[in-house]
Amino acid sequence: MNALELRDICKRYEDFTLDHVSFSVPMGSIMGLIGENGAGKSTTINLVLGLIGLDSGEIAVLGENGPAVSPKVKAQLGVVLDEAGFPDCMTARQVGKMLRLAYPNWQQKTYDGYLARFGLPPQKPLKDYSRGMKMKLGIAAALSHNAKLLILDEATSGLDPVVRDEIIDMLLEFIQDEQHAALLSSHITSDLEKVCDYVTFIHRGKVLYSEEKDALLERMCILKCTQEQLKEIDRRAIHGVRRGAFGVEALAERDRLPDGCVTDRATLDDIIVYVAKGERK
Amino acid sequence: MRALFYKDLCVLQKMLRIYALFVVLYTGLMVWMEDSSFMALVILILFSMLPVTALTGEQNTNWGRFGQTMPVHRRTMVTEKYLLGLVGLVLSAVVSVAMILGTAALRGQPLDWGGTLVLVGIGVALCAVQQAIALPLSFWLGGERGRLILLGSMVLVLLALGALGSWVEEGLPGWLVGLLASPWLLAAITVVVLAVLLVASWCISAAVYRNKEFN
Repeated sequence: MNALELRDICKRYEDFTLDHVSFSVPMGSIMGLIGENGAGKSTTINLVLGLIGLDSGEIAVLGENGPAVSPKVKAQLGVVLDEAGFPDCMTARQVGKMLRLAYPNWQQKTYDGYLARFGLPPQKPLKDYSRGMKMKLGIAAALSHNAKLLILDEATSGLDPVVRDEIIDMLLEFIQDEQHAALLSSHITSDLEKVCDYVTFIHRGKVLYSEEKDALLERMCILKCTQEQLKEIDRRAIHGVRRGAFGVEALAERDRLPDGCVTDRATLDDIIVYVAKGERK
Repeated sequence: MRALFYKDLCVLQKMLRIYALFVVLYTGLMVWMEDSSFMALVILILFSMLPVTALTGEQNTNWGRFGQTMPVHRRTMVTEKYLLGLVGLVLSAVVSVAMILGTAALRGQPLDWGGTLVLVGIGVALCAVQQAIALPLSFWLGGERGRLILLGSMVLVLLALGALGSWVEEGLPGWLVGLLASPWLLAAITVVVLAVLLVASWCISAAVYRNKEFN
């Protein structure tokens, strides 16, 4: 069973359309959701969580199909959004009490352990927490009720590299037993490169790539050539071009390039930038 | 439901402490003032605003979006606000009765149980009508606008009272005089009408909230 399946989902707004987005997150894996601002990542996550209505398509969360996610399935989801949603007047201790009443599988000792690990004072009101502390609290809460699927929407932004590294380790531990999965949306692509098994790239509401991360990074490269050399290359190989004073750089499919081309390894950042800002050939 | 109720109690904690202070202050004023029972009704109005105040708090902290990720039906979230409103009304009714009778006792006056219960009963009924109007609109338009709507609905209720007062002055029809002569029957009918109104209000709120989008 896939932890998450999206099949041809569409959501239309006045000035933006999420257009036939499809991807799956297998159990035991971590999917990175990448794209520039306004690409549709948060809209996709909002649709998965039932925060907004679906215009067409199907979403199956932990095997359950349906326009809405039932409370039974939500009890198995650990969610961290880009803004911590707990009321500012509450303390971490009170948040724990509230979540214990909400989640049937709440693990108070695990929660207390994370509070200690992250150095979060349990009796301090959340209004006195920094943004990073609030995000850590959200992560502590998400990991404390035996969730099968973690969904993190820009959850690591605002965190220092030490904590981000710790969270990456926790995510890797989380999926180790093949009974869990995670969907991460993040602009910090270096983190995604470290931890993700699969990557889905959304650009202007459409999925451009959805495949194994290593395969994608192996498949794509940065081609460096002159304008004349670029004209000789199969246009289907080129996914984005940036022209400079001394030549051309292009995001290209390595296998479609002729022998002898000068290429560099592409990173996820490169893929986003070249597709979003580059010209088509 | 318990999780949501606990969350709202945490959010309203500070407000409830202020209300407790108001109770003490108003009781003190009532001991000194003549004909001051209306002050106890102010407590009713304050407590009737609890669910809208809680909704405003949610809006300010993005709780609305996060709350939807918890294992709770949307209709449960709506129900919890109505229950919070009812608990507020019952609690404030008890406090108001205690304030009026306590003040009378402190001033050495006879305890008018009947008059007090009628006065507080009318206050509770009006506040319940106010909640029935304000809550669906607050779920639709958000907590901040809900406060304005609440104030507006208070004005509507007062205008309705004014119109009722004019009607009474003109002379009541015979069937109504008969009804007023039987206070228990009147109370029972009022409770039924309020229950129907609140259920209808809940249905509207649940429909609004079911279709609400949280971006």
